[in-house]
Amino acid sequence: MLSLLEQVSNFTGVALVHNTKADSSGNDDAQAIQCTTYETLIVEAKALRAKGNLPCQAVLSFENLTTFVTYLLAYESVVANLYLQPEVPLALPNKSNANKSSASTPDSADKNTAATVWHLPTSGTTGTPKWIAHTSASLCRAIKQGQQHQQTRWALCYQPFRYAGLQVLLQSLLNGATLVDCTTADTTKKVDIIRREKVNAISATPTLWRQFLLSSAFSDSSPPFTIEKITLGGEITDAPLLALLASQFPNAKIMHVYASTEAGVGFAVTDSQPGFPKQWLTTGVNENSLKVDSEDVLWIKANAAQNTELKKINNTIVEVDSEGYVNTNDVVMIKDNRVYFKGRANGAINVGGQKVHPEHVEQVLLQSPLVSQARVYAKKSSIMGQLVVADVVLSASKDIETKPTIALLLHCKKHLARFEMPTKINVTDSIAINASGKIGRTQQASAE
Amino acid sequence: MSDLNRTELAQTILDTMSNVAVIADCTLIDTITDETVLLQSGLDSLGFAMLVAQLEEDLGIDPFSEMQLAVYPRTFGEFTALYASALEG
Repeated sequence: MLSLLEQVSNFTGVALVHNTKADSSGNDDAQAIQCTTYETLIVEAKALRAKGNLPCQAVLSFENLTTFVTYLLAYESVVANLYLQPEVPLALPNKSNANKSSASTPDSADKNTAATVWHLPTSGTTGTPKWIAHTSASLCRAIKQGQQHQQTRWALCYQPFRYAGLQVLLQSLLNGATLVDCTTADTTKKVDIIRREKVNAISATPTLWRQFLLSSAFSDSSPPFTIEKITLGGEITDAPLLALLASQFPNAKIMHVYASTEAGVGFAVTDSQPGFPKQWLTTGVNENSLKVDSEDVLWIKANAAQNTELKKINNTIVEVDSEGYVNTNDVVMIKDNRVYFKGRANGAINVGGQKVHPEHVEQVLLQSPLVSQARVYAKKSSIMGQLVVADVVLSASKDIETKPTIALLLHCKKHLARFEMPTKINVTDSIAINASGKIGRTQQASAE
Repeated sequence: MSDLNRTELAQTILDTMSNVAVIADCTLIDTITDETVLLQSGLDSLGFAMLVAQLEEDLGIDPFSEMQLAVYPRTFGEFTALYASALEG
């Protein structure tokens, strides 16, 4: 397989756009925008390689997009182990002297080529973050390539050291497209950059999409945005959000992507419905085979040999069965020829011994026109161990005659089992999202 | 706690029980007195857990987690007395 650097070596034009003053509160400042061409990236990555003495193990932190991508191109296929360090550094599995610089080189060795093992941190939404290993092949497997993608201007809303962010980055680089850095925290700022840089493709979590829609920056814009491609991933996608996006962006192709850092493979759903067709459990999709076990957990197999290889490098972290299926740890529910995601197997709330998936309760709340955002989490109970609690942001456009919490509880009663019912619904102005663009689910949601 | 306050507390708990019964999909019996056995009031253990959670919101206390209980209250009267005693601190 050609290295990433070799694959991008023929591309020309702007590769990266990033805002060097993204965190400042000032107005738009043209000088703050830095554009980096493919030519520059290639020259600088080659220069790094030419220096020689590249490490066999490297730690790459994200400080700015150009440096990150330059090092990434220089290191891929040269260093044996490449760690993409998250914002809160995750300890390396072995004792090394990694420091916090953009790229540190704990172990130096004269090594010219290597099959790079990438180490990506999981977001830790429902547990402790951990390193998951990938090969370049497993990471690039889902990337669609073709000349028609070269004019795409992708917004990078995920951090590039996360699986979802790296997918957007690779999708962009391997097609000679432009990647616009929108990793800054503030929603308004993101929308400003999207407008100014004429972004036409956005990949973001459903939570982030809801915030975009809530900010009304998209609908107020004139001239209107020209978003051609909308991708949702990282969390469960619900029908009301898909419908809202379709009405707001009638010309955009909307897909929700299923993938996980652990499984490293996935598929896209484009039929405007949440979940995926039940038929795929028999026929497979996108060369993946799928199956659901007796605990309703989804297993996925892209390539048995590749999964066995991933199992080897991930030891016990990723569970692979004898047929080569990877345990996704996602619990599903089959209903009316459709497979819906209910939540993470290890993220369940335990109500008196019964498992409640907070994501499932959130989906039910979001089905109500009263709710624009929802976060469901456990509250300690002296009687049942845990109970379900929900925070909701109400839809601004809805006139609420009765008490909204009562109306919502009655709505939940229609769709949830008794033990799944939120015992309390807090109405709040906003719901914090973590750096991965997802909702934190512990009671004290903290930045991850 | 005076008798009047005790009556008010009992009424608060009864009101909360009615609200919780709707959410917890339980049907309360028509008349609840001090002698009513809690688990015969119509609330089951989940409803009871919801009641304790709601009372913690309303009254600011959860005697079940805060007090070293030798025995759990069996009747509505004992339940009210437990909250009264917890409120007195």
